[in-house]
Amino acid sequence: MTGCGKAQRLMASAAYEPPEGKESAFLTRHLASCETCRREQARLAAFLKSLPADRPELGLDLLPLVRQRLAAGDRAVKVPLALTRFAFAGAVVALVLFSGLYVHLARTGSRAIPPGGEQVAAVSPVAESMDRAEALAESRDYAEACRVLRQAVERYPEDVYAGEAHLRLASLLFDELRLYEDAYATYRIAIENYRDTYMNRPDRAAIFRRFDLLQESEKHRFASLRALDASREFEDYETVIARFSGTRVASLAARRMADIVAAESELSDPQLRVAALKSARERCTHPFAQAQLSLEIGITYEHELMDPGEARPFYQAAGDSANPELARLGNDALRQLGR
Amino acid sequence: MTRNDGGRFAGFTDEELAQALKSGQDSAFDEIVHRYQGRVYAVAFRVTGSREDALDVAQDVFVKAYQKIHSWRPTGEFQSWLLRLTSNQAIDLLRRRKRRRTEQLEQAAPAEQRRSGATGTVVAVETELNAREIEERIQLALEVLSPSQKTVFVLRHYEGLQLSDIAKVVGCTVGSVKVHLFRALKKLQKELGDFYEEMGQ
Repeated sequence: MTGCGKAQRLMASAAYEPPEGKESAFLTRHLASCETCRREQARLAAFLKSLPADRPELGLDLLPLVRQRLAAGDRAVKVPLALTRFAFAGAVVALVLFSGLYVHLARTGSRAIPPGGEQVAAVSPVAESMDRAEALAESRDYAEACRVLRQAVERYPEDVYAGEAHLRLASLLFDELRLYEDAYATYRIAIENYRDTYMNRPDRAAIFRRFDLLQESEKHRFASLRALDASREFEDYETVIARFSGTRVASLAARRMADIVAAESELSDPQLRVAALKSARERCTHPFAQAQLSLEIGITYEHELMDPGEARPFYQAAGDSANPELARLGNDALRQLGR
Repeated sequence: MTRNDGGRFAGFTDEELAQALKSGQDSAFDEIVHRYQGRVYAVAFRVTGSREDALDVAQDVFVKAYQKIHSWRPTGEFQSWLLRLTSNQAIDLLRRRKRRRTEQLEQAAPAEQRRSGATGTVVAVETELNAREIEERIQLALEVLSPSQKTVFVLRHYEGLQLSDIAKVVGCTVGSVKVHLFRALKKLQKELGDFYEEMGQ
């Protein structure tokens, strides 16, 4: 029966929260007429009922350990597993006394134990500037927020928060003001001069991808990014791909085309994104855009769906493109698969 | 549990606590840790599958929360912000470290040593072992989920967050949360279906 896929997807969330509006109407209607889905719903309910929902017990107080880490420069304090089997406030106290590092941060008036690990005697001026910049950004005064941050890092380049401030400034320049040249220069300073800050960030991979994007776009004097910004419709993105084929910007444009198709048909998750990319490819009229989308489909199959066999013909299609950059990328991907 | 502050902040909302810390009232941090350590640890444990890793992640989360409180915006819920830190740290650890399969069950004492001749005690021991076995099987089953699926499932099933709140934590749309939840439950049903049959469910 049609609609079973959608109904079963809704059933999962409906098992926890009743659906509303159109979803509720759809599900009620469908279940009234579909025996298969009614059985599936019953199976799901029984399964969830059998799954315990207990919270694993922590069994100790983390506060002394966290305070110790903040004082000791943020190195992890290993909790011996043997200690965690019992109710043991006393064991934690013993650990703290043994280390001799119970820190009284509140007394100094200093909020910050900086990322570098050194205790600062006074409040960091750059940290204060970051607070002011956040408040300005919240009220959407991004230009002033950037001015505050720029002034702070220029005056206090050695401040322990200077690295963080550079990264925040770069993200505001990129995301809010679209000043790509300035964003590129700022990311470059952050990555080259504040390596410790950058390497300790959990989002460093995303930062580096953005830096790569800017570095590549700089070759076109950032025209590719500006063209992407100006795009709204499916056809606009196709034009971007035709102009800047094989670039990271073209890859973003291809994915946005797929998002448009996906939004039209309420699709999400890799399997369905492939379908959206294929639909987008069908709609394209420019051969470079078709080839770019073939490449994206191959990448999705290989890296998200873990299916290199399905990826191969799409990489081949990109490799056969008359666009030299797309042909290179497609053939490189095929060679990697061949290993 | 020991407390550094006399519970002055006990009646504060989460957002008031975060604001207090942001404005330099350092002892508000104690209340934040005590209020959230159980939940942060639980989410970290379910995502990482390891008590040792979860304890590291939980510490990381509170250290980062302290250091980065300036980046929390009062327009957003503090809980969502903190759980987002938690899921990011836990997923980051999964990607960074080689998975160590530490023994998650305590060594169960041999049944003979714990039999007291009273049937109730034997039944209690066997029930406890069954519960542990179920727990371990569930934790193993969670390993087949993608990081997003696992996070969404953990936050919904174990922590009881609303789907709209989970979307804020994970940083995606409610529609995507529903898809992740659907995929997670499908995979778990497949992984645990046989097990529940064996257990006579």
